[in-house]
Amino acid sequence: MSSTLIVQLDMRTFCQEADLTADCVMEIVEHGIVEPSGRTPEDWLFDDRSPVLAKRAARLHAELELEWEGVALALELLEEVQQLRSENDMLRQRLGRFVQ
Amino acid sequence: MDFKDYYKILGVEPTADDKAIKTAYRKLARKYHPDVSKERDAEDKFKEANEAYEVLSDAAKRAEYDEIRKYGGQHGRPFQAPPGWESRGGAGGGGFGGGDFSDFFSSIFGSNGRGSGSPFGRGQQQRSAGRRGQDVEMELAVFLEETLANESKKISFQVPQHNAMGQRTGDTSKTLNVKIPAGVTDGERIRLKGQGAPGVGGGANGDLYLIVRFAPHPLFDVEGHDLIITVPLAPWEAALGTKVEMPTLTGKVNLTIRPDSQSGQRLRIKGMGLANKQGQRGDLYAQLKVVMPAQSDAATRELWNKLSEKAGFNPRAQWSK
Repeated sequence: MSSTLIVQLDMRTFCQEADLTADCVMEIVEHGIVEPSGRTPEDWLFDDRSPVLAKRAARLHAELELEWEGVALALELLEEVQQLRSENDMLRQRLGRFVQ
Repeated sequence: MDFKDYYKILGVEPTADDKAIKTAYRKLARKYHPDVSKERDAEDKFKEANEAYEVLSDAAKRAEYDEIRKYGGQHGRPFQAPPGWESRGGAGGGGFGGGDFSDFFSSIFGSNGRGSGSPFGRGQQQRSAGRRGQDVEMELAVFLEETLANESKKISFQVPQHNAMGQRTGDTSKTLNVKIPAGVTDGERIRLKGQGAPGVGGGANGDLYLIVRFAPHPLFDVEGHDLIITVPLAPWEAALGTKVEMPTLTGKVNLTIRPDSQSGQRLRIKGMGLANKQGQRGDLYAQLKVVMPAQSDAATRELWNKLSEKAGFNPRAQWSK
């Protein structure tokens, strides 16, 4: 049986998990794409959503040749689109129940 | 193996210049990037565009490809490399080895044909001897009832396998029992450490990420931690009030409908919603919906008639303001 736990990753583990270089991670943090707790890279602690987000950012940066600012914006907008889509689905379903 | 018309894939003329090819590629890459696109076969299309660009953006490869194409290749038709064909640029190429290109590509340029110009997965594989296994992400459909208590669920998923060179060799199925923590929300990620693809050359295993998706419920809609149920009422029930036995997620409650209730009105039943992480439960909202009988006989119509004369009600009073 597998159990779930709350994960906090330090910089070194985070780089391993995300398969990214420290420089790349610094860029990603500087652009607010992932937001670790702690002030300096030595103190940074990342949550378990961050590696996926950082990897996504790195892929967009490399594969679409986007600047980091562009990556940050794209990710924010994608997140928003996702939220709007699910909200739209939900409202559509509720409307359906009321109209049918 | 089918012939791939790289020009067609990028949507450019065979005479297109480098700039046009680059523009077409960039457009497709943005459209089909798996992190951006919602389309089902986005990843395949993205790879296809990458492969096409890998060939057409490289003068030597493009020349070789053009020769083959002249030899009679048609998109989607079976293809075999000309007898004795040997790539000029292939063997000495990138030496990258981890490519994810098609058999068609390999048959022309060899499996080492990847140049360094490809933007796909650049430089990641070479950093250390042991490479961490890939993370696997999958959606997990969860019934609303399952979010109330710590329930276990059996899941099966595909884990990609790679050989020591980092090449994908296929998938294996894995089955796990997963505990769904009480109070999960739609879209939440559950991380199962080490349950992803195995590491290569002593590298750590990847992780498995489950993304919780609430399965649509026949009765309840979800709004945060609250639930909404639609309560159909006959017009006279709404007018006179009634008691309704109403289903909840775990049982039933008696709902009192007051006289003169309105369609669309919401009644709150405290603590009958979904649980949060602290074990507190949201509320259940009963939304009233006045429903007319599908048909009425002469006697019923006569009663409605009397009512309309007596009630003196104008539902469109706002229009005449």
